[in-house]
Amino acid sequence: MPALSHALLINGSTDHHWHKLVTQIIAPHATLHIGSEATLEDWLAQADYALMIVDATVVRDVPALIRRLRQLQPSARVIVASAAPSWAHARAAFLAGAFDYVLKSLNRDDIESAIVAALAAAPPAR
Amino acid sequence: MLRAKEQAEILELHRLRLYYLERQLAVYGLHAEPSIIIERDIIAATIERLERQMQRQRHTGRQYRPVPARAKGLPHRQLPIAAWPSLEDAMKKILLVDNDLHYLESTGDYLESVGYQVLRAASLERARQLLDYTWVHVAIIDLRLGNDNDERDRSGLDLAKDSAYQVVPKIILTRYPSFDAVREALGPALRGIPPAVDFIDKRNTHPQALPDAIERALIAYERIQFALTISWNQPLSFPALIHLLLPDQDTVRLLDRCSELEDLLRKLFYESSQITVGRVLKHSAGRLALEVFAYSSAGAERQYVVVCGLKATIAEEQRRYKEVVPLAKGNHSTLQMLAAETLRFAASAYMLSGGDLEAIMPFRDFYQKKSIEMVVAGVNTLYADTLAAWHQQGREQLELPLGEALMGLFGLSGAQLTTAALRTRIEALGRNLLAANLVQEIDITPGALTLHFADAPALTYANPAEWLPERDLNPVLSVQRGIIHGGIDADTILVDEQGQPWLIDFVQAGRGVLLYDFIRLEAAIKFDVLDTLDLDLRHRLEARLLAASDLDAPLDDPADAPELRRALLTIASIRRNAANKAGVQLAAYEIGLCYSALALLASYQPELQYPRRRLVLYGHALLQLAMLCSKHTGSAASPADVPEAARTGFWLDHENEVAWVQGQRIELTAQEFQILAFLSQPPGTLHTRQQITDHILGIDYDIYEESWLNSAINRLRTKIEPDPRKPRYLITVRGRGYRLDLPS
Repeated sequence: MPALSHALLINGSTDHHWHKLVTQIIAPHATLHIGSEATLEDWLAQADYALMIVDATVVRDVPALIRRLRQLQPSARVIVASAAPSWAHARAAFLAGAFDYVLKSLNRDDIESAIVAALAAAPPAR
Repeated sequence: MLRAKEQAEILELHRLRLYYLERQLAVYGLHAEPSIIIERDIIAATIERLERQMQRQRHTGRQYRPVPARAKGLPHRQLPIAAWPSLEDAMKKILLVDNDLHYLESTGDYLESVGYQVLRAASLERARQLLDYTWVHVAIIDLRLGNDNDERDRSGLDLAKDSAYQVVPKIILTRYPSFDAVREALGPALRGIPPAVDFIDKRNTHPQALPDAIERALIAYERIQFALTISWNQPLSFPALIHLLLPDQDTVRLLDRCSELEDLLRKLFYESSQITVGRVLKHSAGRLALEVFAYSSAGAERQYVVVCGLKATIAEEQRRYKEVVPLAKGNHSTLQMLAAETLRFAASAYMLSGGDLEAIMPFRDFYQKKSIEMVVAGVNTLYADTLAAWHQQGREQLELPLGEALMGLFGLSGAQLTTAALRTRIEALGRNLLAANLVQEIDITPGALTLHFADAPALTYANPAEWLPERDLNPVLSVQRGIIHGGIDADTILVDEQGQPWLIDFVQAGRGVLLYDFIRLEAAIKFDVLDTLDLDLRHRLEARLLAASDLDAPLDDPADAPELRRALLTIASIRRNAANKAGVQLAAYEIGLCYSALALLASYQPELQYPRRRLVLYGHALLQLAMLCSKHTGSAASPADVPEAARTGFWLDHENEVAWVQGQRIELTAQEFQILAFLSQPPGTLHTRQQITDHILGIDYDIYEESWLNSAINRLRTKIEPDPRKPRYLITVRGRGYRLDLPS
């Protein structure tokens, strides 16, 4: 059986419903770690992540964070989830290297398809 | 930088081309090819641009330099000088697609004013035409190309998603930006690859936003080294390379294909500051192997063999290289280092580890220039070292129908091997060989193929057209299978001065019967590098090869002509390696030789005429096939089965009623055989004319029989004597009769 990939949710908020939804979706595909922007370095030192999910509502400068993540772990796919997405923010995230930019909704299908696509595009787990 | 005079010359050439295209359009009207209309528009736009540049130069008194200009319909702003595209940007070709004609014109003008070449398309169809016919670096596409007021119109995005144009970076423009549209354009829609690389709001965007986005796209996605200096070591040029790659390329699209190929090299050598293109090492339709020397800005040199061509074949080669080519074994591998692609073309750059490209030559040159000892050593290294690493992978001994395996490898179909197909080719080839004086006489009947070289006895062999379809060319034999190169020839083996070989061209690499890699090189020696128009010498080569009793047998004779000896020694070393390294048996090898000759004959087109140099190769293939057929005909003995006298002198085979002269089986009529048999009892004895006629015809000698006997003796001499004018075997004893002298 192939090893499960690692995924990192950069959350830091108390949005328990969304947190729970993401955990359920990722569980069959990857081992989920949950961290915050403040403790990022520690989390990045722990594993090579196939997927990182950034909750845009708790991050000050999303494009800068994406660039940092891509620099530190270039093979990781970064998905940004925003409760209030705008075309300009989405564009900035994509130009910074985001793999996808999704609406932070509680609709399971919306987030699941993005996560599955990102994990499929990521290199296999080591 | 172009001088004013050169610019004027280019302008004049473009005007002439435009005049020609306008004439064509006037003649064909609505039936004109779309490509003509497209080229007319492109040239008209280029002329306009050149005229504008030259006008600016006249005003400023200096060479062309892009100046900031007020874009029509766009907010004016003086651009900072640092943001100007460099002079090289004049080469950057942009496709601008928008159904808003005002925006199309004004933005197109603006982009041209800052140094880009702009192709404009006002509709989806036009954009597709331009993408199909030309080559652009970046496409800027409006999101709604059908109806600006239709929220559901995403035709521009659909164009961006078309995988046929995936390699061209696209920037989406719109007056109606939305989160969904951005996600669709920049998200992972196309098998993980975004359809577009940027998304720009037309309404409130600064004019510099477009050039900025173009430059970002070029750097991040195209990676074309516009500052790369390309020089040539040989009399080559991009049009010449395109001609080799695409022999049927029409002139209308030639310039575009040239610029696309040039960009391919600029992408491949993105990290270099200069490349020098040297020899064409190999070319076939759709593929080229080039010698390229690349230099960094610090002057460090790297040497590459660049294989470029149509995308599908290069992708296939890259796939096979990854899957089957053995990695660095020893110090002499062919290592893929770089890869790039454009819309139609792709390229891989290989390094020959441990080799100096300047001292490396294709096997064809090595064979001609080096001593025979070095050539044999090179062949031994090729099979014992380089190819051994290939052949050992997944090697297995199998019993399989050999013909089926070889037909696929040689690209032959059953339709090419029917009696009718072979007969048509062989008869036409026979006529052409005679017309070109490559044979003195040739007679092709259903039963036999008889030919006659100057000063040599007539040779009779089985006619392959009648013989082959009747025989089993697909016997089940025990052979070894493994990973083979599959494309071994005189150009795919590169050899250095010391005889160390490297292999290139992996498009046919894969599983196959090992003997194929040996047969291909023997065929290359005979049908490619052996440089002689003497078909008789080629015949002697085949006779010597057929006389060998096994693949290990020595073949050379120091008394042979140098080119014959060189070929024999080289082929002997190929065969020895086939036997020792790949366990090949003679029977399987000869089946392979049949197919190699058939593959060459299959390319012979009876309706065409060929130069003698090409014709002699077809003649050689026919001889090889006919001689192999004869060897395996019915109960006839092969040279290996007959006494020494048959191979070195004269021998009568009483069982099959044929004669053997110096290893050649000579077919005889019943009467001819009777004469020889009578004269041979015993050899060296005088037989009078009357004794002969009495014995053969059973009647008394008279005037008629005298004439008959003269004709019969003449016919026999043309068949058995090396030089019928100076008989060695059938001797006339003046005024008395004849004697058959046989060497002791």
